[in-house]
Amino acid sequence: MTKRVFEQLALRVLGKADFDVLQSEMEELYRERIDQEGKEAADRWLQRERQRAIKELISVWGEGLDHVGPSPLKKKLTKPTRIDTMHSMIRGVLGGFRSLSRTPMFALTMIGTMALGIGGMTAVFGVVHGVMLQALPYHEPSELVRLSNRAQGRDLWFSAADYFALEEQRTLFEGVAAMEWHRATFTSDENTEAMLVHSVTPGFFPLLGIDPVHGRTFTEEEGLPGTQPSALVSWGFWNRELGGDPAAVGGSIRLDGVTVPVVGVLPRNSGPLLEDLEILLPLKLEPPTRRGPFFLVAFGRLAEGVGAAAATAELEAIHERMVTLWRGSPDQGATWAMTGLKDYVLGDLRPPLLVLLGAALFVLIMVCSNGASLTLARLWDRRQELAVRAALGASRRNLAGHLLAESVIIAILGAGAGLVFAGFGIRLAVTAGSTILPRTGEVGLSSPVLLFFALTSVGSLALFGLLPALQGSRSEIGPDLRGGGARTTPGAWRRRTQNLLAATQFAVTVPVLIGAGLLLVSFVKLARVDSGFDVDRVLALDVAIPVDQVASREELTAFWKDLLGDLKVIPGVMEAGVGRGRPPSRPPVRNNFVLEDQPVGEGQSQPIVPWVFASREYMDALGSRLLAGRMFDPVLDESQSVALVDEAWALRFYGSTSRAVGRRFRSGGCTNYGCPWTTVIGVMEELKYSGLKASNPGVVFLNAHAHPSSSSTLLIRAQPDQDPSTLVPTVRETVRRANIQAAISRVASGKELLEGNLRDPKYLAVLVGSFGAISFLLAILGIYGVMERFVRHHRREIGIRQALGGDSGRIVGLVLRRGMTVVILGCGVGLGGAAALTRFMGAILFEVGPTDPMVVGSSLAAVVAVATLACWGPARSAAKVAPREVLAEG
Amino acid sequence: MPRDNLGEFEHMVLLAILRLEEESYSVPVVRELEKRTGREVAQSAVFIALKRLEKKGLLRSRFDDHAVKETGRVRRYFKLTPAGERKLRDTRAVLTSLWEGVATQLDRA
Repeated sequence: MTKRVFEQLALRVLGKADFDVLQSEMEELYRERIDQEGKEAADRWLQRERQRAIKELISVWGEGLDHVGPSPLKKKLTKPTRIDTMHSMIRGVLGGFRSLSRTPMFALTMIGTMALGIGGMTAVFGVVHGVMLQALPYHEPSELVRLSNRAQGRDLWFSAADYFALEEQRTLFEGVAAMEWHRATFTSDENTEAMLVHSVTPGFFPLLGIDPVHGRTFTEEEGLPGTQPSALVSWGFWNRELGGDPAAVGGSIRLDGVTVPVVGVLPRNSGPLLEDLEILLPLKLEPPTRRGPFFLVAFGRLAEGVGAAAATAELEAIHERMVTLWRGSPDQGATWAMTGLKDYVLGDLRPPLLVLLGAALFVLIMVCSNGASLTLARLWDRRQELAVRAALGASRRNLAGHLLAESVIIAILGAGAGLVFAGFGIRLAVTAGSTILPRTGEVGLSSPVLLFFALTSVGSLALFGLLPALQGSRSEIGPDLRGGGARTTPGAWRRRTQNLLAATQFAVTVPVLIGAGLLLVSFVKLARVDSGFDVDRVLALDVAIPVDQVASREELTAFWKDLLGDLKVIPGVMEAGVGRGRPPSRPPVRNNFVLEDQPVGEGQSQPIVPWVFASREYMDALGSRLLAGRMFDPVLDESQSVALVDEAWALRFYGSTSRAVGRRFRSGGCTNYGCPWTTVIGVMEELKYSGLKASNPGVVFLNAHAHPSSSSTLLIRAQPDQDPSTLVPTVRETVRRANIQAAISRVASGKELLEGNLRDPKYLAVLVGSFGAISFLLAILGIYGVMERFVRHHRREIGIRQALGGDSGRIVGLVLRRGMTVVILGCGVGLGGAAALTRFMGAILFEVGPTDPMVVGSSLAAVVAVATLACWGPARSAAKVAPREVLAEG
Repeated sequence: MPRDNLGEFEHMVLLAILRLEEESYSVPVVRELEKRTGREVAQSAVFIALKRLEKKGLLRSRFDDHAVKETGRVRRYFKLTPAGERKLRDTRAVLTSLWEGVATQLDRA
């Protein structure tokens, strides 16, 4: 090795003629030595001589003294052919592999972190793209809007009266459509199941541009009341229940006991509006006799060239005329409004998705700066190798190429692993998020996502690879060479760069950690919210019986009462109730109302609260106690118009529970029609129906036995020490015995009822938390690496200080101070970044502000504490430097 | 005084050439220096110093074609140029004047 390096170097520096002279004269001395001292000693001398020669030659080269004419090799190199270029590229790649394989830990760390950064970023972008950015899979989706009654900051549904007015008076909308959904029972040969059934106006399909794969969509006639029933089925339903047979079109299905002809099959991807759909029926709207009820989701398509402002103005104008026609609106402050269809589909997911994207981006920056730092450090450790390469004739371009080849290899392997990781990540996000995210069917490694992946990979390469490559090939390496490796400390430029990179890592970690901390605190607070019911002992399930099996309201009430009686005698069951609406966030309906003694003035809004149907047993099953007044009477109250309210309602309107009893109200839309007054007979403990997060506006409970429905929710309360989930089989059996065609669905324990409210925050907290953990770990490794190198490179200086009587405490202090200056600077900048990241988070946090001093403070404290520990190690080893040893090395 | 000072090693190499009289090449210079200093001297360092001094115009060199034919060895012979001699003289003058008067103090100490 030495011989080859010596020969090539000498040839390069001295030229052929002088190289021959040097060789020959060296040999002469060598022969002499053999004669005087023997072969062995002479060989040792020759080896020594060559090493010294290499050092000399490198230093001559470093001075740039060209003693001899240009090397004959140079002429050959002036005009590289294409084959030469190819050859040198292949050589570069092979060389890159070779030198990487010599430092496998470095290579693996780099590839692993790159995979993490690029993969995580791509996965998150894949989800964000599929869910939020990608155009909806409808014809000209940007023209599509959702129309609503906007009151008190909420978007409420349309009524039939609203829809007809819009249909007749629109001029700036090319088309409108309405949709409604309910649960119905579907009876197949084997069993009966409850199903979500959508009803749409016939114009729905042309409006969105959806064509059936088999058969046809609904005709205008099918949308008129009193016409024959017909149904469209989803791709999934067609395959599962109808055997995927095209001949099924023309056949029929049994729905709620009625035979309905199937007229068509919808395409596999029918877009987010029909995502969980099974069966579609034509919506047959009766001409309205009053303004309400409000149960329709309305859609419209803006005519070509119509702006949002003009369309909104038209909506407001039609609303104004309609309110006059129907003599008053339930809410004087209400108006019609429109929302882009994509925003409607996305709901309130935009802020969490943006936070996620931001967190992933921060982690990527983290990984890149970590990579750059590692590469720079490696460069320093390899300076002698590079010096030799340079001395052997590698030009600046060659050197940069060599270093870049290594970075490219790392980037390619890292990106490849990242792509695999992204694929898994996307699948995981879709599986875990399918109940949270819309459009998960459209999420995947589509071409825009792959393009993003490619750009991210190239961008990362530029960030972590180019900088060190340029640095390594800088002519400033010349001075490093002259010392031939005697120099032990990196230049100020490089040290500053590494400090900057380490500081960047902290600047990035702090916001991600603060974000994760806020989400975690928010989640914990949410999980601790008192939902108002006995979570551990409740079991909920939906039961639906075919509508044709009950002739009258009385029969229906009797059915439920009998069923409740049967359920109550099951061993382990303490109470069983029936109702509609599941706590804590699923009221069957929200209603506006007016209190007899608190009339709503002109221009003011009527209050809107969840409207829940519940039997007295339903209350008992939830474990909700009566605070004032009385419960529903089993006999009396089925004919009277009475209601229970919860504590929040009583306090909101009357300031106390007892004062609310006996008050009367009329439900909304009934104001002008002589509707009966409803009397409040009792006040229950607070029960949440507006979600754990939102403040409770108060709840009204109507007697479920007075307003029975063929599709209701059963609530079972287990005996103490009885796990409610063990009751499920017996409960199912009992329900089936009561009605063989009863469909049971959505079985959930009390915990699972809460889950729905906790899932989003948990999902987000876990995701951002893991990003936070990754970047924290990288930052700590980063500062440790920087300080460890600092100590290693300054061993001499530290040794001298020790020799001059510096005590070890001072040396520890010195190293710690150096490291912590970097950390604290980074954290300072990170606080700014946190302000940017958490700005989006206000909407998704619960009972904790985006700048919560506890969270911000404890995140910072954790970072500083762990970083101190990370600097402590190198500081201790600095204090242990033995002056005599170090100075002897020099 | 000329701008370009001689380095210590260059000074020694020049003096060695002077001592060896007429012409010489690196091997005798190495021997001479090792004898005088009592330390091992790198031949390449000597060779490079010779080349550097030639570049500075203090030495002149030629290939010894005769030796190639006779011994098969390639050698490069160096000899002092007038500028080289002048340089040595100047350096000696500077050093002597600097040593004047201090030598006795140094000996006493």
